Amino acid sequence: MRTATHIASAVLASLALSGCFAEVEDPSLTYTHRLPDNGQMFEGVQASPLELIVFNLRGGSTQFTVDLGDQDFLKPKQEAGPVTLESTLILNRATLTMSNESAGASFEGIDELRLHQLAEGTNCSAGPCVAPSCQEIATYDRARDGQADTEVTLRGSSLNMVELLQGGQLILCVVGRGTPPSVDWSADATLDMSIKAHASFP
Amino acid sequence: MHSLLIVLVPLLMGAASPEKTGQAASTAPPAQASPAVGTATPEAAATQVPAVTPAVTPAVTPAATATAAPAATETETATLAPTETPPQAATPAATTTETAGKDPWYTLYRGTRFGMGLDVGAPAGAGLVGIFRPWKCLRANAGLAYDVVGFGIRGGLSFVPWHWAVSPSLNLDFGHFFSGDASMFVSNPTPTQKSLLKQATFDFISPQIGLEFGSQRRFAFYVRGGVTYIGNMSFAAKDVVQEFNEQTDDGDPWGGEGNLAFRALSPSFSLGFNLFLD
Repeated sequence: MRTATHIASAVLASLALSGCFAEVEDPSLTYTHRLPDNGQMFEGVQASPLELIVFNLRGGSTQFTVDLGDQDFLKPKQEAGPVTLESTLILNRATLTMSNESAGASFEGIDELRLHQLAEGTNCSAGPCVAPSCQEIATYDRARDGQADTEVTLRGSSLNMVELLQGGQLILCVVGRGTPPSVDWSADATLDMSIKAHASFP
Repeated sequence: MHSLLIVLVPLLMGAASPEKTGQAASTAPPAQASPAVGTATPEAAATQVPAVTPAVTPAVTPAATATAAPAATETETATLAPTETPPQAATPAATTTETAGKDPWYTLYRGTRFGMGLDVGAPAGAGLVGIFRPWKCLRANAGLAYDVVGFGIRGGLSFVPWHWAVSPSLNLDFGHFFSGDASMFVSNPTPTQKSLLKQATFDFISPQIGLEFGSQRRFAFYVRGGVTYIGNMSFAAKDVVQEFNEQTDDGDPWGGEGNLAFRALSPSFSLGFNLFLD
């Protein structure tokens, strides 16, 4: 009897220390933003392939802000007593899709696209992306991903963007290399993200 | 399936129920020890008279012999069969005696096999279950569950290796809650939050160890502790999206078709009692 009680106590203690948790996860939540976001259209470019360019060609900018709102669980690691709360926000993929108004426009001439997250006060530029003022969070490479058409998909980098949030916002910028569309165009940038909040205790 | 086998196999093999088998075994030795059947011990006589009387009565009727055969002991049958008992009557009697020495594995528990239980705990809530004990050390239960938010069903297995005044137990319970409005736990919920939390369905599985106090034949009180895993709890994508959109000033940029999933592994405890009826 005594042995059984000791065994029971040992098992209970082991369970208590085994790492209990609670977590909530949405594997696919999308955020869509029209580019450019000034209600205009990018002007078509009749030119030979360009080096790394910013899509703030005439007509607008490819810099935009994602507002995630003031979500309690989208905070970096927090501790409250014995409970540790960690959140992750991962970009699965980003997609640029030509809008309906962009008749005849396509991304066929694009060789490379990069989605950058910028620190507050930093502007989109064609210069090198260097942390901490800039983080590369998604890429498209024609050689790797195939030729794009009216839609181009950038692969996410698995970077936890929660730590990049500034007041619940992400400042993003699309840069690229290749030949931009030759006619005026606008596109919807859709970010497909997974969100997870994990509380562990003790 | 297993329970079905437990019930069907003894029937198919023509064996008596455990209690009857045990009874036959207990009555067999006195009858064998007494050369004169009519002078068997009182207990044996009480059980054997209907069986034996037709055999020793000169005017044996076929009907009487037929009813006597299943309950007759090996000795009685062996002695009387050559002259008065039809040969086929010896077979079931012999089988009974052979199996009485050691029960086959599928023999059901001879004590109280059926009962009911009531418990309460966290996070699995309360439960009212029916209990079936096929073997002495194993119990199965199934019934209803309630966790303040909603109702569900649950089932489980308990392994109780020893039947002492205080008996240790290993338990595995699982269940599913069908519905429930969890918004009651949010103070002043918005319409979106209400919509989001109104269908809090989930599954759970809970391994626990415990101590049971009292009689395993009739009434036992228990306390248990362990862990509970909660899974398959999801919230509709449209409600999640709406919740996000309400918190942004950028129109309705959020979308998505996947559901928000919740899962947890938490310590758990429960206390309750089992009442065995039959």
